[in-house]
Amino acid sequence: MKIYVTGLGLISAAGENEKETLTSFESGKRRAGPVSLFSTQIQSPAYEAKGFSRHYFPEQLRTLNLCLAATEDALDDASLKEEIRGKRIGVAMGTTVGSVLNDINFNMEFREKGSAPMDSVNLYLEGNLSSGIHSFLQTEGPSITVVNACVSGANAIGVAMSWLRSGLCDIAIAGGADELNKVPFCGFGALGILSDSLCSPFDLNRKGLNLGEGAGVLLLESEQSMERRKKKPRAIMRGYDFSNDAHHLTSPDPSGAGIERAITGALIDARLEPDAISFINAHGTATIDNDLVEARVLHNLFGSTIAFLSTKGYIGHTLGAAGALEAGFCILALEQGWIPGCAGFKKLDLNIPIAPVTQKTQIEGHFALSTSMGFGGCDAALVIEFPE
Amino acid sequence: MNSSHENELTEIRQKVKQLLVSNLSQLEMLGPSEIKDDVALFGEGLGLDSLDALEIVVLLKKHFKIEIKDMNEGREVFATVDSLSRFIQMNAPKDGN
Amino acid sequence: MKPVFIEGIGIIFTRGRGLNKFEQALKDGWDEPTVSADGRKAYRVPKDALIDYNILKKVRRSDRFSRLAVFAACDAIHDSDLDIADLDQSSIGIIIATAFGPHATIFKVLDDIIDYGEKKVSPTTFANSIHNAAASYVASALGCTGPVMTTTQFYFSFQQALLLASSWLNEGRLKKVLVGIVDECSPAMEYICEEKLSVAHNGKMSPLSCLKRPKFVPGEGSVFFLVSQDSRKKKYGAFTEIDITGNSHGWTDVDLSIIGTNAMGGSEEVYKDILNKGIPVAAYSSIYGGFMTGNAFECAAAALMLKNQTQYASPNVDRTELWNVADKSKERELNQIQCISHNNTQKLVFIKMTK
Repeated sequence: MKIYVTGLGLISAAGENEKETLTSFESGKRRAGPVSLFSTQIQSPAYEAKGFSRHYFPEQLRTLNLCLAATEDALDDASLKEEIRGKRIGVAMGTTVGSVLNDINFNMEFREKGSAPMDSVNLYLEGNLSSGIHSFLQTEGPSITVVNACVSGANAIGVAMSWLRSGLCDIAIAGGADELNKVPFCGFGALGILSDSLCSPFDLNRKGLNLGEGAGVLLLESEQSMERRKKKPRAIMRGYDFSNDAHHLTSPDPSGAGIERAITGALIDARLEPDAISFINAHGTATIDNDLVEARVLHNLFGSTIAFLSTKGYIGHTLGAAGALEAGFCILALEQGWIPGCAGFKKLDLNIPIAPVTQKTQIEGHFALSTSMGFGGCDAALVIEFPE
Repeated sequence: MNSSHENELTEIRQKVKQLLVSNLSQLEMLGPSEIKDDVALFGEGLGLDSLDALEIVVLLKKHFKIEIKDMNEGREVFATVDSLSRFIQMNAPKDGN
Repeated sequence: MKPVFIEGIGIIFTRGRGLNKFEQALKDGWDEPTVSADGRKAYRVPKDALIDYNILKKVRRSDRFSRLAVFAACDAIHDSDLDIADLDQSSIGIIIATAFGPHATIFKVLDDIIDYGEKKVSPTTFANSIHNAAASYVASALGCTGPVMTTTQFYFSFQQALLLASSWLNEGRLKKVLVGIVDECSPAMEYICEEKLSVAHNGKMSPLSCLKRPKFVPGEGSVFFLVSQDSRKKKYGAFTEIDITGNSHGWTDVDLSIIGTNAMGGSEEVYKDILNKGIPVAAYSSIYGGFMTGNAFECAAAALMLKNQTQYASPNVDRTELWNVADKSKERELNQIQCISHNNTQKLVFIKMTK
């Protein structure tokens, strides 16, 4: 059964909408800088969604607000903004920070006094992404917030695809969101994978990732819904698979078997051979391990001439939003007929058998692949089609 | 090496073993006295892995105020309790322990 | 919905580990909750239930939250007599639903930031504080290389996870799914519950009272169901319907209704209006305590009753004039049981289970 994408909402450091995002990609501009959203002693450039101020919920619920803003954009794009209210739809959202009670002041006061004000708790209880979206839109239907670390956004799209294929709903809002937050900032620093300079995906001298924030939302519809609405789709979610390494809590399986399984499974789901893929938006976090494992697998499956890049040089690693934002970027690229250069890549690592594109590159063909890998050994792959 | 220097090193070895046993789940079934000074901490020895290495980096910061800037440096330093203890003795700020 | 057959169940809760302990608890009825050093009552999992070196050696750096899940998941596989080595390990999926995630570990990360500074956070503690760490440990312990997912909502988390498991099986790529829940108590969480809910200071929840402000005692635990669409492997019946529309009053062709009155969803008066007076009603949360994903425990109770063809008495029975309460344990014919849960907007969700 075909699953159509009729709307997109993309918010990141690269831009608060598609036009701004494409401008950043075309110019190669990397909008990173020192963290301004909170105080920190850790030196690492961050990709903040500067100027984001669309508050549907209290300002402190930044992840939910990012998510809702991107959702509204996707609904607008799909011409569903008014029609959706009160309807039966699915909402699947990925996040990491958006589901966590991690208020330092609450903890400090509770430790000291055995009691603390409930403000941050009350906000936390309002902050579940999928529930919050259903509540805001006054819709009913399947509802899942995926908390699968860095593959959550891709997984959420996969969940929505499962729902649509099972007939549980005809329309689904799927994506991911994460705000820049002190706790993962400290945590990634502790894991030694936060770079103190701008990240360099797949580069010989890569030192780790930069964190970013944003929200990516896709509006997915079944064939029945498309026939009824007669809306022109922007893309087709052609295939999806996800897999687990069962190897280690934080490091990817060095053999790459997990991500290879996910990519192969997505291609089988899409009924496509690897040579049908025009380009790949890789996970490419710029950590030593991720890029090595991922690139080797891409080389094994697609050969040495496949066009690929990581967009994390433009938006940072947006954690739960990443897989969804990057699927959205694939759609933009297929529509526009070009992909940007892999920002941050300068020099080939001889251990890595392929190199990403270094400048704006024309692409032909109709199919793109987006890959995601995450803590807990999670691997996901999405095949996206640009309709004729 | 004079005896006070050696005594200090002995104390550091004890503290290191205590910290390893308290903080690394791989070693939680062992008592500090069961960890030999010269057994390999990683791989075939006591079986620690890369995440344990990062944990040791943080323990060095927390308890000895030492920063490891480069994990390649860490590889040699972390080889055994003895190499780790000698490194701490040489690098810990004297007022910080 | 195609039936989702239950091949095995693993459970860990306040009275220990294992389905036999849960069955015994259903037979024995209510018992006192544990009391912590700060005087708070809760149905906590005892320390000795989490000791099993065969399992722990595979998940050595896991925290308590993850261990709850790993033990229950491994037990579900063991209960089913499935030899994982015989199966293509990429054909088993795992879905873990949680309401609050590993919050105790998250607070430990915050402790590190407060006590030692931003640059001295334990990397292991941070890794364990990520919501899907438990699922990762389950996958590693079992060698499962299929899809592994963690989901979180405050209400109906288990029901949504079960719906997803059913969709995954329908798609045909997976032969089995291990679907379950895990949530734990902690001093901070117990304090928060005290502030926001009406705590039962005598330690007795009254889940059949259907009060506006029901009495609450926190609980914790984990339960996993190994499920498939293979009727030959059915051990405990099947999940046959899931209604999340919020427009339903449930089914009248069931032999028992179990209500998920865990005192965490505000007023429980909604149950008064919808329950058919002819169908016996039971509620068991006063045995394992109130926690949002505890709805899965109601399903475990239903599964046992369908297998054993025995109804277990609903503990803390009062307000029996409201309806027909299952106040006695007895053998009886049980073909279908429905498990009902609610949320803070009085929405009701139903799961039907069939022999």
